[in-house]
Amino acid sequence: MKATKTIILFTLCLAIVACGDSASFEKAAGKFVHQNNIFAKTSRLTASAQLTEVGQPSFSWNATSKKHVICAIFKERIQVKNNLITNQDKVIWIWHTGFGTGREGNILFSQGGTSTTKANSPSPLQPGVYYWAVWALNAQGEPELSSVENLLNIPQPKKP
Amino acid sequence: MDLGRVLTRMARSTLNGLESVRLKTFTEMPEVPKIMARYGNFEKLDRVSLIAIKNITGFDGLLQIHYRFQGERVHLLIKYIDFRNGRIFRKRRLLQNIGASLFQTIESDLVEFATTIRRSYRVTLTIRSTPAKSKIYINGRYAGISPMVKELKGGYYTIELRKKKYKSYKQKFFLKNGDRLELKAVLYNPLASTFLNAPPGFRVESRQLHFGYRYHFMGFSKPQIFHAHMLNLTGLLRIKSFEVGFRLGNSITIDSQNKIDSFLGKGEGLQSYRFSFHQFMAVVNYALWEKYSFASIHLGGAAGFMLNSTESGNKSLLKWSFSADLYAQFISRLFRNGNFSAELQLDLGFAYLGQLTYTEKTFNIFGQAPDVEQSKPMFTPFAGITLRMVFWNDIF
Repeated sequence: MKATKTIILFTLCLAIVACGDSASFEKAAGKFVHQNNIFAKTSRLTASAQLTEVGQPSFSWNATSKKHVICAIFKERIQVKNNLITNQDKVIWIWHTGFGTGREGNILFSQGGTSTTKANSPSPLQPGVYYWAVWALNAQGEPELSSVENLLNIPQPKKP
Repeated sequence: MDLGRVLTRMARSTLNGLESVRLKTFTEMPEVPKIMARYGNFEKLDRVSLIAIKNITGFDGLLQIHYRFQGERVHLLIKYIDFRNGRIFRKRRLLQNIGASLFQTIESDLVEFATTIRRSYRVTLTIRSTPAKSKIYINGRYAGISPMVKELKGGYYTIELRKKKYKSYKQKFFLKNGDRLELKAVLYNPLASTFLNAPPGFRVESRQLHFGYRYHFMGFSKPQIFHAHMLNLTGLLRIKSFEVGFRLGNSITIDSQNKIDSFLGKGEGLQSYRFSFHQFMAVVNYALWEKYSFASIHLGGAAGFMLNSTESGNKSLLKWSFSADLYAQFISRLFRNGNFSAELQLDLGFAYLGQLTYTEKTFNIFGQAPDVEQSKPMFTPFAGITLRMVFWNDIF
């Protein structure tokens, strides 16, 4: 009975926050964590990842029809300052519309690469925890849409 | 009906109501008709004889009324004889019913006749002023507000007109009876009188207000600005061959879009700008050649400050810089009305509009890269057209 009351309280909180800014809650380590878009003052891009092959996730989001769309996986949590990701060196996989591979909104791991210049058939990810996000820039290079920082858990391969 | 008695009563009440006029009938002065009878018909007398009657009898004028009835109507002849000035003032013949219209005509004649004679004993003073509604003082005493008509006795008079914020007008006159003085006094305001009383070389000959348009060829590819259109308001004073004053200029807003490189390739990004310029300039022009005031060629220069406002995305910049221009002006008069003339002016010149300050964006795949502030000088040739409103001073 006590647990039910707590949930109702948080539900009301969510409704109020949602009026002012895009926000969501992620259940991590048994706690609700408030998640903002990675870039401030951008519209929410809802994206999800799916492990279809070992160490090779695929990503999907509602296609934005924007010219400049980027999806990247980071080794550690994404650091942002003044709407610019600062730990760019922690990127281990990236895809963007300039590669000309895949279809914006549905991307396979193999369609990205390890450098920002071209897709280069990356090797599968090692088991562990990774962070990823999708964002779109407008024609002036300013972030317009962005997802929250998503968690990607690559499990140990099952022993035969 | 005794019309003679009615008319006599009407004349008495009308004339006795006027200042310094009295009506006397022959019954009051029985000797006068005998004297007058000696002269016979007054209409045949010359001016000297009529004045002589005035000197003998002391009468200034005479009303002779003859009437006879024709049915309902009356045939009336009234002679107005002016002994004072030695002339027949008027002969009025009337044939009409006895009524208000008849009496009004006679009354109007009586007043005019008496006033004319009275004026020959007085000075008639008519005072007008620019500006109107100035206070009038005659020999130091307040007499009224202009415009004003006043009758005075002959003599020495000091007439002064005063109005707040204006320089007083003061003048002395010797006036004889019968004189008519029409005075038109112009009162200058202190600022104008300061200039008007200045030595000839520094007199302000005209005040001018100009409304102008200028086309500037910019020819910039980055940021892309090919033209600028300025609207100017100029206020000048003409002193000798020079015009000095100030100019305020405002540009029509310039929208510009510039391609920038992104990770997709060259020119895949786009940066938008919105520029506007505001000028505050001191102006000096020199009249190089003038054909009276119909046409002229001036050389001029201006120096001052330019405020450059740049908006790009959600960022805006405001920067002041020095600005200057040099030009030639070709002026032709459109029309002139009194002290005002409208002129058309064409300008050709070269301008330093100041520093154009703007931000330059670079694409960064990981978010918004910081803008880089840039500036470049704006040297531009220009051409312009101006409507000049010129207010010339009275003394010129």
